[in-house]
Amino acid sequence: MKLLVLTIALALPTAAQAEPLNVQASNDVLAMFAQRLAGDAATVTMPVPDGIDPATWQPRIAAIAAVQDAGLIVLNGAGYEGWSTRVSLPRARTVDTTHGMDAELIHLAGQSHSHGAGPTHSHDGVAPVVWLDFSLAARQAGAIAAALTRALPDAPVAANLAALQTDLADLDAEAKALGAAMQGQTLLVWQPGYEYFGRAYGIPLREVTFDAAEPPSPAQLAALDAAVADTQARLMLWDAAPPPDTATALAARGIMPVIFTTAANPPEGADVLGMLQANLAALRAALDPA
Amino acid sequence: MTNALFLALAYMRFHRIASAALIMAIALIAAVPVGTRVVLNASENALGTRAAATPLILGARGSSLDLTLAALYFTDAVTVPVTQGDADAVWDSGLAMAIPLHVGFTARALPVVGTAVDYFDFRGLAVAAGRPMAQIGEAVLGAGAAARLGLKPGDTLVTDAQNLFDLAGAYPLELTIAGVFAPNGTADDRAVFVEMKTVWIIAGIGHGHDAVQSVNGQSVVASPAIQQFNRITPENIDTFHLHQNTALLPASAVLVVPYDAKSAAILQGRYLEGDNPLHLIIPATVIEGLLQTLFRIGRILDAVVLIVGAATVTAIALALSLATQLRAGEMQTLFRLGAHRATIAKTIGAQIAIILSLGAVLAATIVIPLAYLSPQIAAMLVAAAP
Repeated sequence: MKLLVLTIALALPTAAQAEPLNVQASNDVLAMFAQRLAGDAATVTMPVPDGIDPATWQPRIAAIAAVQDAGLIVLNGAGYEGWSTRVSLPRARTVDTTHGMDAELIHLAGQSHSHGAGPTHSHDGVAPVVWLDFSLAARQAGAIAAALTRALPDAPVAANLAALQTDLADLDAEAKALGAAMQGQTLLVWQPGYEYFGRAYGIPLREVTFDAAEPPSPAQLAALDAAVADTQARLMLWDAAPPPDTATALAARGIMPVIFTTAANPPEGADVLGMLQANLAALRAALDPA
Repeated sequence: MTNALFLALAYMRFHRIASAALIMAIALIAAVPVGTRVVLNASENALGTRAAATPLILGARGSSLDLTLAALYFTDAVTVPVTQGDADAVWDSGLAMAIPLHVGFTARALPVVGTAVDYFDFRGLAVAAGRPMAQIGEAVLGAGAAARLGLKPGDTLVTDAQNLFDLAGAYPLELTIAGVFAPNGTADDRAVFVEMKTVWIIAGIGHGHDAVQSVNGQSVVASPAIQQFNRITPENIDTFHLHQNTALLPASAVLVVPYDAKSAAILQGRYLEGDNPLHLIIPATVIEGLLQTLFRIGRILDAVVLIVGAATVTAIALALSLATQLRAGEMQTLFRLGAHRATIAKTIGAQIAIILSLGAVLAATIVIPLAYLSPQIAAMLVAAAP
């Protein structure tokens, strides 16, 4: 039994340790959750460099080694971390925040596309940006809290979870109000990633793929025209401001871009929760320009 | 007394071969049983310690001993595998950690052990050189394996082909050595550790190959021109994939580490039913049974040694007696020269005492280093035995 206790103690470092728990989270939303839940008892790091989508990150060996060394590794799951399928991670120190959500996950049958000179790819499989359904985000926070409670039994994780879930519930209520206000109006989206937001809040979505850095191609503009004709949509969600040519093309068609970020890898020091709140505020403002 | 010792030593110097033979016989009759018992005890301790350090093992219902030896000593005695899904079920129960192990493949005759990095935390394996495996295609060597193969981080090691005639079976895969563990005196020292996904690739369940080319807009479903990779590089790692649901993929055994005693009891209850294809065993109990058998064999060996020892002691006593009788003339001469009978007895006694003492010293020079090295010798025996 002594050995058993020792083993568990090794696997789950406790708050008695002088050093804060080293937590590695696979995107900034999860990192924010982990930091708010653990407080000063943990140092939370998001290993993906600035400017790279965590969903397409290909870690080098040094980055993998840093993740392996963490006391707790927080993953989104749902296929978000493609790199994790070829990497050795310690399961005892890894939390998959969408584990047990199989019934809630959205399965995609997407079409192939490319971003600029990047490789052609499709988003078949499971939609991974779960946290834009704020009720599921609260469950993700709960999964992280459970792991942190085991790792940091003396930290006020439960109290921090209650505060975080209150904030997420506020976001959920605001998003529901927005969904009701939209009255079934379709939103165009520039790429996948908004599936859970649309489903959770009753907002129909239509994807018209554009590139974040390239001018629109004739095929893309034709697809946009077809989508506008089908749906009479006048708003389009973008993760960041569209490139000038695309913005001009959208304006010519009466489409207003709305900055609605997934907040997966914002610039360092950004307020992630504030960005999620700003998404809803931007959409509210676009709905009601007056 | 000094005179008696002088005479005894002089006699032994003159009959040095006979004296050396006697000393050697006495040393061996003392050292062999004691040394054997010392190594046997150390081996029993090593077996018991590794078993006690492994709370529970999940495996296909069958021989508990085969399952234990596969999980603790990486033998390939397990014929019916469990699945990764069985390990996942333990994790999902929230009652224990579940560490899968896949054994059966070899690399230059050393066992290739597929597992998760949790195994290294569980066994307290420390990396002495390099780093733990980070991704598929990498291996970490036990200290003994690295020494035997003469490999270091950055080198490569090719797995052994299993069956040349199995076209769909295991192909040799070139592994990159990521690191070498510090020795821990167990079977881990002679193992080649890889990720479970790597071992599934070795098993032919997963593979990497050139992108499938389309001809006239139609996909080439299967072409002999498609090159299958037998080494995993940064350039081709993304082409490696598995052709089955991970939950269905095989493992030889699963080490189960319950979070507490209550969790252990609940888990054991779940696998008690006889119609369950899985069983959850306590390796300490299995090894205890094995040790009891070894103990009984040890008792027989002790009896044999005792009988042989008694016979040898008798033979030595007879040899000394005959030697004394052969020296009757010499004794008579001493007596006539005026030596007291007690002096003559002292001379013979000193000679016997010297032979016994030297025999004991020689035995000690064998047994003491053996006792000092017994943990390492036991580790080698236990690690290599199965």
